[in-house]
Amino acid sequence: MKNDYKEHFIIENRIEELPVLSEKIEQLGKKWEFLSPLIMKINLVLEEALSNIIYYAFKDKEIHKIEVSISNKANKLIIEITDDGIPFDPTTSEQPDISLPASERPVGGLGIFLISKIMDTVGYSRKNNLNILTLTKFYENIERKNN
Amino acid sequence: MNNLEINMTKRNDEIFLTCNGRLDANRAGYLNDYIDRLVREGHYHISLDLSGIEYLSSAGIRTLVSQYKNLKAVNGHLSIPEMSGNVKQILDMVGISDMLGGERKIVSETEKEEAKLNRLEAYGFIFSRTTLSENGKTDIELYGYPEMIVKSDYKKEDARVVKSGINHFAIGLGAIGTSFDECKNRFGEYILTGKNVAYLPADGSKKPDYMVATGQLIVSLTELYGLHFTGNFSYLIDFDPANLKHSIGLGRLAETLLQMTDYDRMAFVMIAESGGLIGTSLNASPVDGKKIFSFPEIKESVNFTTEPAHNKMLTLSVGFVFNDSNSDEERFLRPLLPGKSLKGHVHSSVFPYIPLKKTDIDLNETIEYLFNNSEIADILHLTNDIREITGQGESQFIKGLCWVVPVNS
Repeated sequence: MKNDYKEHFIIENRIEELPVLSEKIEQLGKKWEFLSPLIMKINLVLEEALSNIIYYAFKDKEIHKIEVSISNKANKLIIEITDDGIPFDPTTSEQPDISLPASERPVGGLGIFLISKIMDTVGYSRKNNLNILTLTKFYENIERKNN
Repeated sequence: MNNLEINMTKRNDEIFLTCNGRLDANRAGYLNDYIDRLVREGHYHISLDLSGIEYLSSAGIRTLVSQYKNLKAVNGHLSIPEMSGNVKQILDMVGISDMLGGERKIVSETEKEEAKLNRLEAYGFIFSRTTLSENGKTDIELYGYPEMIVKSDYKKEDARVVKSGINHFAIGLGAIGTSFDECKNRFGEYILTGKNVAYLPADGSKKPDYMVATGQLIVSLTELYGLHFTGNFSYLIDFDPANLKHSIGLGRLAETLLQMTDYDRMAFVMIAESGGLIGTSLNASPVDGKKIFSFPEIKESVNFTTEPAHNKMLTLSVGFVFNDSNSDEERFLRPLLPGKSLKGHVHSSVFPYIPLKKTDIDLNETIEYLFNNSEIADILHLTNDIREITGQGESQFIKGLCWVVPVNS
């Protein structure tokens, strides 16, 4: 059972990738015996963080790969998201205000707010021209089946 | 279930939407558009049953909050009397479940049940629709290669001669004349309305030229490309601002015309008062491979509106608006609204302002009148300049009349 506690996904910077990933997370969550509210929260955090990257990080029209890794060990989830977009620290930055009606505006401050509500720590670093967002969450046993 | 399903029921003047599936970044727009449409149809009291929503993201929250505000602003209401545990958890976390979850407001007095199909309020305008022909429809003819404009090297074999005539409407690139050689140095934006043809000779004069066919005379136009349709109109739609300060952008106007007629593809002729036009026209004829779109030539060879132009003037426009276009049609179309599938191609000719009579207006008569009694000032290909800071946006209209016809696929 090597690396059973860790999964790795790569998506492209297209918003259509998110539902596909979300389905994979659902399966992963079931494998790890998470209950559905916990799975939903993980998906919510990923959607917020990734749509943020997809909408804002890339100034060119090229296809970029975004890496997502999730590890689950001793009631601690670590999500790491890596992209090669422009430097952007969501833990400090205000989102740009763009001229769309509120409802059409891509994820803004609300997304970051939700992430920080759900996760226990939100960390950012910039290494080798990559943005690395590290999110951790300690979950309770009651958020899993068969406890 | 990886989708969003919305079912609508109506009780008195309250709408109930039962939603199933996911409200995420991908699908929140669907609910948002759905509610937008209801509001435009005059439904201001909306209740959502979200007990079948398994997943709600911030895009979904944003839709709920912004629609809550929109409806509140028009004395309506949006509430969520039923929601799933997952939805409740998220709304609690954000601190808005009380605001949205609350009991339903009592629906105010009696709201008039109007014949809603024929009247619609949208974007501060009142649209009214009159049926002209039950089975009005048209084919379109697309001629030539608009994309070749980039090389500006149209040749004799690219051109053809078309004739004006009653019920024939068209826009494109062309010049009055019977052969390519004769027109070679003048090809510019044209607008053909029945028996009349007007175009902007791209010879540097910046002065429109036009011809009105009288009696047996027929105007010949040599075109490089063109979009043609037959004026077998189904509806006349007039739009008037509910508030005098309003104007409406071309994209929203086109969207509303489609919505009111339930068409996905239409052609139209519009006579409207301008609230400022944004557009371009050629100032150099696109032949001989001359440099037109390179810098700095473009400054001389293409006319751009540097600010909204021809405010309060009268415009006569011919256009095409498509929500679903095939790849061949796409070559002739440009996006009208950022982020939407709506595409179109519209040319406007500009005349000094004269008031239009409200009722019993006949299109051909009005066009004749315009050409015979006033002097055409400009012709523009309307554009939507969506650059974030420097963009000028799109053309605005204050009031007008649109003759519309559905386009066969």
